[in-house]
Amino acid sequence: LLKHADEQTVVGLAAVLHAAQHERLADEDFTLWGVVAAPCFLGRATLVSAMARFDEEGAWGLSPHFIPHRSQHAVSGTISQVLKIHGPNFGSGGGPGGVTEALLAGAVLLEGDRPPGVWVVVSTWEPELIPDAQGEPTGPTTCHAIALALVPSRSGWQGPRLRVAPRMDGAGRSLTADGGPSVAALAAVLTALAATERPPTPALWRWDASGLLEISRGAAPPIRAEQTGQPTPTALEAKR
Amino acid sequence: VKRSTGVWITGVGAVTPLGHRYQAIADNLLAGRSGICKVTSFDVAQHPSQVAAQIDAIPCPSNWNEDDFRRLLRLEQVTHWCCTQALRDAGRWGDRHNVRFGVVLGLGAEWLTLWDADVKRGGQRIFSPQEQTEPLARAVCRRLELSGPAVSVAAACASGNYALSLARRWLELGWVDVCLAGACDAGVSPMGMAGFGNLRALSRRNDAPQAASRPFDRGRDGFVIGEAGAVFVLERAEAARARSAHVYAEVAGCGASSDAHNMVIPSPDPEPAIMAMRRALADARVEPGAVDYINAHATSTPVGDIAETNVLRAVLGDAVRTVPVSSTKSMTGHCLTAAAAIEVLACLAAMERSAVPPTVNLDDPDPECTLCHVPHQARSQPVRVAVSNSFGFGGSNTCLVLKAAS
Repeated sequence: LLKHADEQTVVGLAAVLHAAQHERLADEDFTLWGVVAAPCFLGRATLVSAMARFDEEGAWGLSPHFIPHRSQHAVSGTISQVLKIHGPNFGSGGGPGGVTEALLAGAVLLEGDRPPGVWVVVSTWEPELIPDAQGEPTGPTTCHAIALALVPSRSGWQGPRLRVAPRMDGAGRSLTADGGPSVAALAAVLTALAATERPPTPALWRWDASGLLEISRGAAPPIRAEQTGQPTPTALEAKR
Repeated sequence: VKRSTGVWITGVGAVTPLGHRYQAIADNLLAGRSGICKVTSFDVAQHPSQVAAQIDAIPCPSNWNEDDFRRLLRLEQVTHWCCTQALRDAGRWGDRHNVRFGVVLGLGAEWLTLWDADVKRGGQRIFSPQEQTEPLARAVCRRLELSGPAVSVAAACASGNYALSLARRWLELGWVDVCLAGACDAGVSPMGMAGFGNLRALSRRNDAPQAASRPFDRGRDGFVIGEAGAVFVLERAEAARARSAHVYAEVAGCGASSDAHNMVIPSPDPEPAIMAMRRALADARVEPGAVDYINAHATSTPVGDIAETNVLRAVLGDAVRTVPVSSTKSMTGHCLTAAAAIEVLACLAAMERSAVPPTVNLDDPDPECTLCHVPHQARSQPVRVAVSNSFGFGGSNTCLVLKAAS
């Protein structure tokens, strides 16, 4: 199944499988969950080698697996297939800012009579994989992925919490960074949340001119929440 | 969430093989004209499929300098044209700065398409991390000076339905006041045709381009690749009503599911796709018998059209004998990421003109695809509820229900 998959698909899937074993998810049935995946610059190196082969061999030189496994939906589609998930699956983002896009798309799926949970999977190469003319990386790089299991808010929840607020009701609170979180920044926040005894300062990012994304733990002072979910984090790495 | 609020489509921007204005596209669809021809823009001698539905010149939006616009890559041109045109058509150009305007675009392989086109033009973007890292959805926001969130979604041929579904939800939640939503694709390229051709997904009826896309016909042998874009302005009903906007339709219901079977081949089990359709109809509070028109996904592949027929039979029940079904891909080709959005436009045309667009080339209906077809010519009838199915690689099944706005 993964023979033709991109590295970001493999690492993203591994992150989901790892997170699914977490004790908080032990009783979950994922059949009707959704999957939103935001790989970053998926297929860059493979496209270079595919174009080189196309130039050498013509149309027949392009692998039939290229489009299904390098399009932006490839990660979510593969995860859906492997986990036998029948809820919605789609890709989001694709370049810088993909983490914010995936969270905005994933959180909204939970509203109303929707899937019981959503996997939000974000991945990237760090540093960005820049290929040479043959499609090989020009320097060392590592593929990272984070899988977040989002479920609707539950009373008494003391674990990680995601809030998406459309208005800047958190005025006066300082932003963690300009713009949305990178994969690395999200990993750092989730690691800090897991490691600290006391709830740390919530991480805040803007998602447009006035909307806020907040990741916190426990009973953090709420900004007006239009959508909440509880991420169960895991981060995996794979060396290329 | 106030479910009674309703979300309406109030603007359309499009560029397709059948024209680049809504009225012209609607005219051509209802006249049964094909936009498919032999590919001449690049050498296809070695390609198994040599026909496509291509966009000719993409018009330059009036807020762009012509030279600057022509320097954009093709996918960028398609997207900017559609978004700008939709805003103008909706009458929201002048007040776009005063409201929270979101953008949700279906872009299935944005970076691959742009890098490939750039290389063909002698560029080096694919080798340079510093060059052009602004996603297209955000570039649209910046260019149009919109203040809301910008997100791209990708579910292959189902992307457009996901975009409209997400935009509708944002509006219902109050995350945005108005939203541009749609999908664009510029996939008719040497690499695109080779990729789908080597998957054996494309028609090889190279000697008769306009007869090559023949959904539900016994002689179908694959889809015809196409390219297009369609973007819509969505806003809450009360806002549209308050400004006396022209209303195309209500986005009344959305349903989605996944096959979890194969990245390319539709599942032999129709249940997941049935689930998507039933969810959309339930969301819209529409009984199957109340549907006036179904724009089928039907791409003209041997396996896919039969699979969808089975889904339609299960969902419609007895109404399968009376609810008209057509595939406008017989005229537009399969516009890939843009397909669902183009087919929303086809549904809007059906509702506005009270006529169901035909499936052209349906000369000999496949007995395994027995439905209430509309072959060759449009059928005049009121269309108050239209349903559009779009299924995609990655196992995505989506269904959108559009209702005449009341």
